[in-house]
Amino acid sequence: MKPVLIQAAIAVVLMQCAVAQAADNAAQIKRGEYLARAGDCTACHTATNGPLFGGGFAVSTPFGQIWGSNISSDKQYGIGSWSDDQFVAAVRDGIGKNGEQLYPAMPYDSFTKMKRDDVLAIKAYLMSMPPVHQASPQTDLPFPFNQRWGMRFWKWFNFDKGELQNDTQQSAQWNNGRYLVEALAHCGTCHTPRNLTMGMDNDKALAGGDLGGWMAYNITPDKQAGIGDWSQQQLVTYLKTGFVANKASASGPMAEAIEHSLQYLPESDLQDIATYLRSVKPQPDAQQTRARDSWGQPSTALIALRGADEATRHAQPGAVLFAGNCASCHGAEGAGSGSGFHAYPSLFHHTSTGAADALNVVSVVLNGVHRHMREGEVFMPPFAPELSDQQVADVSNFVTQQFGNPAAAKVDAKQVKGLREDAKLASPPIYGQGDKP
Amino acid sequence: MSDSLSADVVVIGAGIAGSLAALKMAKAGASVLMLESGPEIKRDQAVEYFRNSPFKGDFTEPYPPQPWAPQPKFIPSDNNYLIQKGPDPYRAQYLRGTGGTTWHWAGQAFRLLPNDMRIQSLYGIGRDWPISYDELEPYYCDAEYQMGVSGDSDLASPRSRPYPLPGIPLPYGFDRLKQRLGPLGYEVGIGPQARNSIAYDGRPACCGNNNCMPVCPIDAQYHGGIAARKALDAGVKIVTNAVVFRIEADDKGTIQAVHYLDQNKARHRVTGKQFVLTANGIESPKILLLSTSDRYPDGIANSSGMVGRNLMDHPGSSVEFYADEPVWFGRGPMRPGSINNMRDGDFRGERSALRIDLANTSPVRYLTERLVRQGYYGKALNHKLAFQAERFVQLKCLLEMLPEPQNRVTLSKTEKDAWGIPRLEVYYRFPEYVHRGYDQSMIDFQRMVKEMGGTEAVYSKRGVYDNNQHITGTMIMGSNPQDSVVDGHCRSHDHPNLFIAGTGIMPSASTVNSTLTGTALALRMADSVLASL
Repeated sequence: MKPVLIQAAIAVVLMQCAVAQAADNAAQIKRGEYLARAGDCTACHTATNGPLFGGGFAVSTPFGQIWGSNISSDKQYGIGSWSDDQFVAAVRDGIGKNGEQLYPAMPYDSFTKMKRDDVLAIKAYLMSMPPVHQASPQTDLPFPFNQRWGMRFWKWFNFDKGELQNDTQQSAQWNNGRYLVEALAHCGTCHTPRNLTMGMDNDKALAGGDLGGWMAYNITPDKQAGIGDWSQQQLVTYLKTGFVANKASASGPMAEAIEHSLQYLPESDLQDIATYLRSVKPQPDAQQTRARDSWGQPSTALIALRGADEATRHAQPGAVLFAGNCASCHGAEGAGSGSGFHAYPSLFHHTSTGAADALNVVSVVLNGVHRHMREGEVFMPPFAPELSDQQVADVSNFVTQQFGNPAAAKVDAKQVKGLREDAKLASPPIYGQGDKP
Repeated sequence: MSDSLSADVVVIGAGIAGSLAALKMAKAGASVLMLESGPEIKRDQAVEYFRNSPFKGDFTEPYPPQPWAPQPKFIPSDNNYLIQKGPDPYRAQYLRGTGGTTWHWAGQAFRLLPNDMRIQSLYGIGRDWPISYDELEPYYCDAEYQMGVSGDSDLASPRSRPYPLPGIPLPYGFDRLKQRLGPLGYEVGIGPQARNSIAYDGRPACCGNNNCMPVCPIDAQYHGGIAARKALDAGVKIVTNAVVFRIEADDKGTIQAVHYLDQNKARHRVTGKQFVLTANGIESPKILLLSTSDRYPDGIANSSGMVGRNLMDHPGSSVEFYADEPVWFGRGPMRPGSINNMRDGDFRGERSALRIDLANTSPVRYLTERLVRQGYYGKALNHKLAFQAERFVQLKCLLEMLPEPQNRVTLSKTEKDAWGIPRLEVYYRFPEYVHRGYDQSMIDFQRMVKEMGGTEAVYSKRGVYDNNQHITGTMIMGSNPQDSVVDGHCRSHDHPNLFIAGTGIMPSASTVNSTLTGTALALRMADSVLASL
């Protein structure tokens, strides 16, 4: 009898171990899912309308397009056959499975601060998801950027390796906020300016970065240049919804970050992010003489168009374009309309129109706004297919002049043309004419 | 004269039907050339023309015509572009330019009922279609997915695919009428609308400007201009300001070319393999009638003599009144819902069927203008207007016209437009069938007004009906070449390579807006054209 009892006891213990391990596993996968959300892996590793983590999203860089790789559980094309160490090396050190240097489009200069257990949790989550059996396009940058070994020098200048260590002087909330901002959500990737070698300029951490088509604004607590005049709750609301009335609405890459990642984070995480951001070193900016969301007022400019003759209208193309294209949603006075999720933002008291540079205004006009939220889609149509370069310049200048920072009202057709081409956007139609078919 | 233009398919008319057919054919690999008599219409300009116009109720104001492509216009007075010759007026209002008249529709995208296509067999009136509802149904779906039609109920028109978009919720006042009229048997429901309830196909959701007619300022409402743009982007060559005035056929019946006048009155000849006519139910027959020759003395496609005949529309009766509670009509789109359960029945042997729209056009302008005319001003005006605007209800009934050959458009022998093209005369007479439908609509209106505690009700008069711009019948479809213009594939009986689509070929008008059906027919036609290449 005794050996049987012992055997049974061993079996029970083993089973309990297995159950415990499965529970551990499930917990790890669940945490991995949360971390993958916070890290916004999908932004670069899922193609538009493509299968999850199947790769194939093109990240535009000043050097050319870099394709997000397949990180699904597929053994051939994904990470299915990667060891834990290989995966950790890729995420934290920028070293591929076969020892090749990864381009820092993969933000390993932020992810290096992640805890190893967290990286492995992400791996466990990815491995729990369906494999995507397809190769992602190979990145093919022009010389010299196709020489991946060159990344070693880049890293030498720009890569500070190492996990983030908790600051025991600070609260748990602050530490979590810092971990999210600096490591997982890699805010600095966009919001920290780049140095000459395109590394993050950490002396000016979070002081705002130029992404080419979009400006990632200063998110340090400087009163004029940054988020110094935002309340804790305003920051949380913005990260959750992308919209704070009379302050800001998210478009471009920030809308994507909110769409894919931030809206899904628990409120406590967003509170912690806000807590941390409000504690970092303020970074002033001589260009921003007032808080960006403090510029502008309602405009009565459109009233003068009513009953005006053609010559008068012709003399103010921006106002005419605004009336025909913008005023139906944003209001003749630019005050926006509605409230809550379906509100159309006011154009004054808005961080984009109040910026000293109109880049984001122009890019919003060209690209529109696409923010897929859990409540539905926040959408503004792109005007690239409707308006010429000169028209986009005219309406952008009208908007910043009337509703925002007048210093930004110096957009010209050439700048618009460049942005249109870089983003591969459509142009207005050209129909044949009867006499010139 | 230049003779260099040529394509596999030459399409005349860049409205919603022609453009969506052209888009489909270009996507299938055909070279397509589309000729449009009017200019390119731009939305932002149209919006500004509208805002600057003192005639907000004139739907042509945002779309000023070019001298070579004149349009009917009735406000402030009739420009007599259409010369009225009959006992009853036919005041069709349509646009010439890319996108055509759907620039100023209200997006109502109804399907016919299957029975609407068999009224001769079932009720002994009108004509049967040579095709069945089931044959048209897949093309209804295609058209709806192109346009982005929102809706909830199938409204007794069976469907193989769901609406592409969820229905737009009824405004408050509609809900009130639905609750109060329902027990009387009148079913107020969400209408199918080519209007985005959520962002769709790169266009935003409706934001309730209540400006669908004469222009949706944000393209939440679909229009033919969107279709034309898509066709252009798909490789269709579109030539604007090209006024086609002649279709040329050889003695065997094959169409060889079409001829157009440009902005300078210079002539151009365009050749092709297949030819498509989608230039609206009045301008299309005009082109056919203009194309006379020794071989075709009555014009092209007209051996039956039916071109221009069987002219139909939806004669409209109406009532307006003040409800006994605030209903706040005018919030949301202009035609979001209607009463749809009076469209079919054995009564159709005797009288027209009915469909009743709840007109959600904001009444504020209309009421204000009337009160000012009545001498109100100051506080009294405000007080009166506040009361009226919150309680005003307008119901509009669409009646079914029947195809009668005497109702027709013909070329004027004396009057010409600025480019020397003969203008059109219209003969139109409402049959007793419509008047009896009117009588029924009055019975129903009176019950509704009573139920809503209506006061100061004004009923439209017997024999005086609105025109609803649903031009149908003038190039009628049928299986018999002796009494119809095109066959069930939209191919003209007389010319193997001439196809006609749009609302002008519909053999029955039914009681629903005709655009979706005209467009579905055009998409079905595109398959036949492609098969003929």
